Amino acid sequence: MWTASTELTVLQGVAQFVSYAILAVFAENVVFSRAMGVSRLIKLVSDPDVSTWQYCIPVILVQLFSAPLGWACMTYVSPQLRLYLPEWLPIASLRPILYLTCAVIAMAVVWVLLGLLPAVHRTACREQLPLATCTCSVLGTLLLCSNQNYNLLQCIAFGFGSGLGYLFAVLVVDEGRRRLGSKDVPAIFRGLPSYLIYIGILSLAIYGLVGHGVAR
Amino acid sequence: MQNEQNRKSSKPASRPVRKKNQPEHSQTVIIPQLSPEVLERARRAAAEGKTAQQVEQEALDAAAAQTAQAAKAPQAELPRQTAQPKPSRPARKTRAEAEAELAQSIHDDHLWLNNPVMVRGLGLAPIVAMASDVDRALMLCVLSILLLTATRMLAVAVCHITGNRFRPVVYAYSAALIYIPVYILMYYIFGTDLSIMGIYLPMMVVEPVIVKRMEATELESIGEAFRRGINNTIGLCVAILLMGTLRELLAYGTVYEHPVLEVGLLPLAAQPAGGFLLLGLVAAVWTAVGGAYVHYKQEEVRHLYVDRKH
Repeated sequence: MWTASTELTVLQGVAQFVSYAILAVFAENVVFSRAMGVSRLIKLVSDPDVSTWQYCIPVILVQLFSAPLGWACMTYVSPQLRLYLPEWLPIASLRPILYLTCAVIAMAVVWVLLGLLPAVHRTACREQLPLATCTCSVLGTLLLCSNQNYNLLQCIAFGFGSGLGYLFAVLVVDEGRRRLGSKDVPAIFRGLPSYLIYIGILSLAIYGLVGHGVAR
Repeated sequence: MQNEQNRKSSKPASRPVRKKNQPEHSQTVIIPQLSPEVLERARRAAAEGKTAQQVEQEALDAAAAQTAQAAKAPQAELPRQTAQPKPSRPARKTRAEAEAELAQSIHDDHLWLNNPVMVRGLGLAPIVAMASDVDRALMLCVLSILLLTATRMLAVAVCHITGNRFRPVVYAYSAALIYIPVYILMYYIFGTDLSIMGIYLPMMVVEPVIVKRMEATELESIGEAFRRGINNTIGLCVAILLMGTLRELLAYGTVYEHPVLEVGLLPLAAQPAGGFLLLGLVAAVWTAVGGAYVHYKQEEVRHLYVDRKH
């Protein structure tokens, strides 16, 4: 039976999880606040062969499963590794390869989990899985959690929220793409320039909401 | 009469004996080409006791061989002649070939017409979020120069060994491996200033401009990877420096920390939102000018090949 203090702790944990996830979706959105994964986003919304869900489901899952691995890497692996490294080799130079390994392990887990999906969706999602893993939004989120010294719960919440935030950005930009194809848009702005200006305006709205630049 | 008899009697002797498949005009070819060497060979044959017919036959054969050799000589020189450019007339190619060549040259022009940032939309994250002044832009440039081409070449070499499987992982790990010496070198150059780059320095290992090639299905050669890597690096560096300079000028009124304006005209340019907006405007101008140039070149090809249907 749970005691009141346990319930409070659980509630606090849930509240913290939700708040960090919401923070990652809106205020610290990977695309609008930090421009991470924006190159792939623009290509994704312009590509008729790849649907939004086909790419975003692997991104969300990889971010979710790589977050605890990233936390373990930050908390246990890096300090241990630092003891054995020679002086001329700083631990910072190994950060990409360490966190990339976390993402690749998460990719393997997600590849297995995608087997639960129906065959049509499974194949489509698995095709996009390697590209969804080796993207700036995944590695950037892991690096950011490490820089901010988040705890395990915060890392998972922020990673999950970042994946949802990426999906949110894709949906918003995809909706804007339909409007940006209008003939009223001047010819020189069609395509990449209009996307960038549109994302810039959305980013400006987020900046106005937060009121300051986010940590990098 | 005597002369006529002599002519009649001498006719069979003087008429050259043709082979059955010898062409009729062979006499007219051979006679003017009788060289001293041919005559010398005939003299030697006569000294050896050969008949006149044998001597003539040998002379014919030698002359025919010499003619064939002379006929081969211009053909051998032909490639050298065609290799020389003809400035007065355009090359003999079809309009479709000329248009394909133009399209290829546009595709290969990573500096201007097919710039990785302004046209293809790669490398946006570090430019928008980090290249807010010339200092950071320079760091990004150095990183790109050291990382991009080497990553591409290493990844292609590994893909040749692995049979072109696990491409994204191979590309990302190649970049992460090369990042290790690159970081040490950059730390030696920039010192602790590197910390201002935050997460964007290590994040470059999965930046699409570095590992874009992983999305392509065909495998390029190492030489091609080197050439394209250099071209992409130049195009990327130009875009980074341009945006860094412009953003610093607009946000702070300085260029490489030298005051140019009294105040920053657009402080928002230092933020990602301003970076997006400014990059969008610059990309619009860039593509407009590039598109006008492409249109001019296409019209030029159309004009040059107007009389050719295909």
